[in-house]
Amino acid sequence: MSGADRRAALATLLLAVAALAVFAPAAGAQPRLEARDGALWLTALPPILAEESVDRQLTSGLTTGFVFTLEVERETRGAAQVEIRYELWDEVFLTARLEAGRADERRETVGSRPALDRWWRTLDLRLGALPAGGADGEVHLVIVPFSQAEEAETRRWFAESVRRAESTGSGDSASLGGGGGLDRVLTTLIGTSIRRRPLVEYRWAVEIPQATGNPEAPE
Amino acid sequence: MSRTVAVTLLLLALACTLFYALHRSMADAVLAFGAHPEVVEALEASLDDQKELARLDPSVEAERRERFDEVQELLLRLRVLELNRQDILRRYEALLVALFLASAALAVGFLVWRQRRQEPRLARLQAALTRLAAGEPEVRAPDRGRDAVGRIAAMIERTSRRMAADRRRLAALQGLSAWQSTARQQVHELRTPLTAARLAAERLRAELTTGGNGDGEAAAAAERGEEELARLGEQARRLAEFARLPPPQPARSDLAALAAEFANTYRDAWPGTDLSAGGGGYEGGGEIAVEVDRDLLRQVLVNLCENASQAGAGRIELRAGGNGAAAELVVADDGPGVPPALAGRVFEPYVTSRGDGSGLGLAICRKILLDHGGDLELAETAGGAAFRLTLPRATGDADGAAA
Repeated sequence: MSGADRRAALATLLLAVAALAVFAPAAGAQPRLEARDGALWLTALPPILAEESVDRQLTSGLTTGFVFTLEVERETRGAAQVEIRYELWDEVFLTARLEAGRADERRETVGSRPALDRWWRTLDLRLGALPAGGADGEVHLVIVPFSQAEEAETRRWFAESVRRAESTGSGDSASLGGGGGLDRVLTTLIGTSIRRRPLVEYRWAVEIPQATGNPEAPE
Repeated sequence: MSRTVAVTLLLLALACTLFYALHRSMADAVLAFGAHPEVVEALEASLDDQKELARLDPSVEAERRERFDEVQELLLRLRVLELNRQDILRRYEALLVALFLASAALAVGFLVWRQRRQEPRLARLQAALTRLAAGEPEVRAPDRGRDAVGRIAAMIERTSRRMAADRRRLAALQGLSAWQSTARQQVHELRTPLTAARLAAERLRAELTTGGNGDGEAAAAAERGEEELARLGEQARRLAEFARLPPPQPARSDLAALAAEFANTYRDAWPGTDLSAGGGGYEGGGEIAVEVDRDLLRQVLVNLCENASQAGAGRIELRAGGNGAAAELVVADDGPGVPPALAGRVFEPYVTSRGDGSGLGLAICRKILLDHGGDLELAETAGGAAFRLTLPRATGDADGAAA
């Protein structure tokens, strides 16, 4: 192997390492739990917004939900939810987060996709009260592609579309099998298959930090 | 079997109808258009267009925004559908599979139910067949279904009746044959001494009545003796007739036509008795074809009509008919009927209700019918007497090609 070849190989290797560093799968990164103000906070969220399936979903106009739960010994000890919806007219991201121990929903508007990534990286989510004594736990993230309201609205629209198709496009189908009864059953059966199913799920094993000072009283 | 096929076809038709309804309802309404990528692309382009229009002409922004929201709403719904497309298709397919499985389960359930229902019927059929094979008379197969099992049960009963009738005929034939054998011996033994006695009586009467020296009373006694011998001779002749019945020479004939012809010919044979012929004809129409010796049949009919007339009947009716493989001719009268005490023995030789009867007429009649493969029976009637002549139906065509 000549010197030029060695240099080319080294450059290729360096490029590959750099690419791996930049595009490393989010599952490889770990979020972190912090004990602060007597509560448990989830910080340093992995860059999962860059994942192809999530990225595509974020700009769809539908509300993408990120549901975080903390499980310790198979019991849920904390939860938080983030919703991101891309407003197609204004071309901004509308975010909302609902955290344990907070009654109100915190909404923010993010102007661009890079800004959204930055917002995500700096996001601290309050999972709940700090459990007594340190332990190992698991953070479970479920990403759902649309909200409950969008689910309900699509079901309603679906049923309405079927009814409209029966009464206009194919008038004879209404007379088949009585039209109404069978169709209602079928519409219900098919309509209920429109459900919020996880787009993708992540699980991270985390260490729950020790409580320092007086733990925060439950709110 | 036909019912099973009909039910299976019905269930398949039901499944197909449901499938058709399902397909029309679902595929037409949603699956066909909802997930079409070109629709989504067109909607996305429309969104861009609305925004661009609003940018170029801010005065129509509100209007464009409204339109934008409408399109966006539709686009989002389609995206939700698209996200659930596989689930919807799986549910749709699962529904189809469930539909067909339900239809198949219904069909199988029906077959199992039918099979379970058939088993006791088949067991009854088997029991009836066992009794039939054991020679039990008048076997009953209690099944009146119109399917194959019911038809087989009816066949078993018909076969049983036929076998019972055959057994009766055979017993009657054996009895009459034994009587014929006895009659032949009696005729053989009676003929010569009877002839000699009659000749002697004639000579005695001639001597007593000729030459003018006869005894009037003795002559009258001789004459009475001669008459008694003549009566004995007639009895011997009837006995000989019974003993030496000729075998039938059958030819194909229409039984109804024979009856009509007989009634026409013998209309005035028995004064005071009205003789007529009628009948409903053969089951299914057409002639009542039988293979019969016309002379012997005429002898039977004469005998029966003679009996009826002598019993005081004012009307005799011949009714030809038949069913299945048998033809029948009923000779019914309005006379006093057969005394109940004699009803079971009326065809036995020497059994008669008349003092001057030989008791051989009905025995001869039955023997003639038995020799034809038929029978002669006393039928049940409300009044008078009725005799049923049964003959096997002739097969083959009318040109004489009988099978």
